Amino acid sequence: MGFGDLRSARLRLKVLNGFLSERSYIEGYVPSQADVAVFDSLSGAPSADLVHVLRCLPGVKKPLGGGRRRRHRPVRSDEEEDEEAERLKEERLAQYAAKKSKKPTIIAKSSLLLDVKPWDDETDMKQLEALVRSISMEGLLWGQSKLLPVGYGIQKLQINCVIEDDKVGTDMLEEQITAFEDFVQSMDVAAFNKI
Amino acid sequence: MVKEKTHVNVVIIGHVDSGKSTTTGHLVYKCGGVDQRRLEKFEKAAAEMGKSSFKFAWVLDKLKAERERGMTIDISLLKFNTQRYSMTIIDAPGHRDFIKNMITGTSQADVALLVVSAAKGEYEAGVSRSGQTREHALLAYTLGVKQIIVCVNKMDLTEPPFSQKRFEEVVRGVTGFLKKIGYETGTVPFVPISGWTGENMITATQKMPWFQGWKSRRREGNASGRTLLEVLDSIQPPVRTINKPLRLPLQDVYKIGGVGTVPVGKIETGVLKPGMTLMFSPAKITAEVKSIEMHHQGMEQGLPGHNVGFNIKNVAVKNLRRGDVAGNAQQDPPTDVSSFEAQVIILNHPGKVKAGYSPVLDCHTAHVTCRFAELKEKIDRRTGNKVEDDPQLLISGDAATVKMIPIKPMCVESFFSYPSLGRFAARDLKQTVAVGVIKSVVKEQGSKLKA
Repeated sequence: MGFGDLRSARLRLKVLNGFLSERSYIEGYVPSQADVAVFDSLSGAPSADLVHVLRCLPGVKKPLGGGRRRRHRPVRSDEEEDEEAERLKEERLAQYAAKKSKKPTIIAKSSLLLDVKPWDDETDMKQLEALVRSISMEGLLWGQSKLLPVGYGIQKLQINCVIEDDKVGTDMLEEQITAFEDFVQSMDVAAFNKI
Repeated sequence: MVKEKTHVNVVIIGHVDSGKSTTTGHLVYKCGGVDQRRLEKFEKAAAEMGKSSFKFAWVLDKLKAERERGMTIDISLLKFNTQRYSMTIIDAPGHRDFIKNMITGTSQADVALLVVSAAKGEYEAGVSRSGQTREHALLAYTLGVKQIIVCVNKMDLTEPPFSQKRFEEVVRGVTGFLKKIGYETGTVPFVPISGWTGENMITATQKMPWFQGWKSRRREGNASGRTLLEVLDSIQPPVRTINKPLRLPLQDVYKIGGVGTVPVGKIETGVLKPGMTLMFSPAKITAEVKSIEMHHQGMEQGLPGHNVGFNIKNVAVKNLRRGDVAGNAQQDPPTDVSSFEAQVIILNHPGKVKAGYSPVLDCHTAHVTCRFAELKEKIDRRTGNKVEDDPQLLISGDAATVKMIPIKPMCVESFFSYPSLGRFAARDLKQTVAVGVIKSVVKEQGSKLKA
């Protein structure tokens, strides 16, 4: 888009000012060659009443002569700083990724402490434990366990297991454990930690 | 008798490489979380192998290996002591089911400890969009964990080591994102540490002379100090909920020969005493408490945090079940709700959530399908301000106020009155698709709106 030779007529500058009153850039929503071309064709600083032309100048990253340059320096140096920070961040991320790719991938595991509750004080807890331990799936390792007194002669089985995060979920465990419905009333997760 | 220390749960959050396990290990190892006999055994072995200079690392490795084999229950619970508190650490795993457990689980976090690595590249990766740090911190905030502590870790690995400039850069960045989540950053202490070499963990280091100490400006009074242990010791103790009406969600119901019906659950608020008349909801049954037991010991009263069993008169086992809530029939008894209004955050939903969506809600011990009856407004997660009325749909990351209707009787409460009965995880497709806190409930009998 062109506005003729903008040096030639103050009138044309006014046209440009009017045009920019509703826009930030000559074309679209980001600075483009069109802005550079139009502002290149300006000579010297537009007069102060052409507010929209002035407003749009900082948005176009093009040095525009001495006086104005000083005025816009704070904006520009901020941008440079941002660019610098961004570049630094990218560089560090790249180094991190490179370092990371050399490390052997560690399989994410969690430690679970499960409470398995029977129906009453007469449930055979040995049998209950044997059933729980009979559950086997990839990425599941049963650990130590103990019986804890609840009250009124009821005991619960507290059992530790180690799971691979990607392979075993607590829902799967709960489903399989509570499937022993003659023995198990419910299961709760007492502790859930990263290993 | 020695006064028992107040118990506090600390959830540790941070990126995989933040060094949070090492930091946790250091605290547990140095503050009495590992039993002396096992520690001596390891230390002796380390010395024999000529590893005494790397003793700490070596012992940590051994402890990790033990945990990996699931051998000892005691070290699967990470405990340590400060001067004022007995603390249990929850070292947040990246496991997809952890979030649900954080909401409905038995150990609710009182404080969050965010570990951020200052090492080159690791900080940048840790706070990136894909990092879990933001999600965990956001969840902690949403679920009412308003106290957060930040450890800027791996200070020994900055360039140059123990760089003040790097510390300040990290503090600026983390402050920014905590503020976006909603934390009052003036209250948040930042401590530069090395969980590996121990700088500023238990004792103040000489290697960072520029560090003037951490500060926390709180309404309850300011705190300051130099080490992480001091920060942990300075936190506000969890609020005692002993003066509230009783709420006890049932985990199990037993039938015991010669005794009768014995429900078991954890007291969330209030006091349970023999002779008290209880109301169970949504079962709509009343019964008198005959006796209470914990760990097979008879008790004169049960207090918040106690996992108790109690014997009730004239109620058949089949009339009560997991998910029912017991309360005092004379003091704000629990009731089931016909609907409730919640603030939800959509987390991992692969598609779009519209009115009518019906996932299963896990709230305290209840497990009930609930319908998203009305999407009332979409809100800014941080400010809670409305951004859109009657949104047509919600996607992952959106927060909204939603009217929800349980498809069968359910007892929940507003988060404000009874926090643990007012937060939930919505599950669908074997995932936690949303989390929420309940703003208000409409009780079944009469339609009195309760704030």
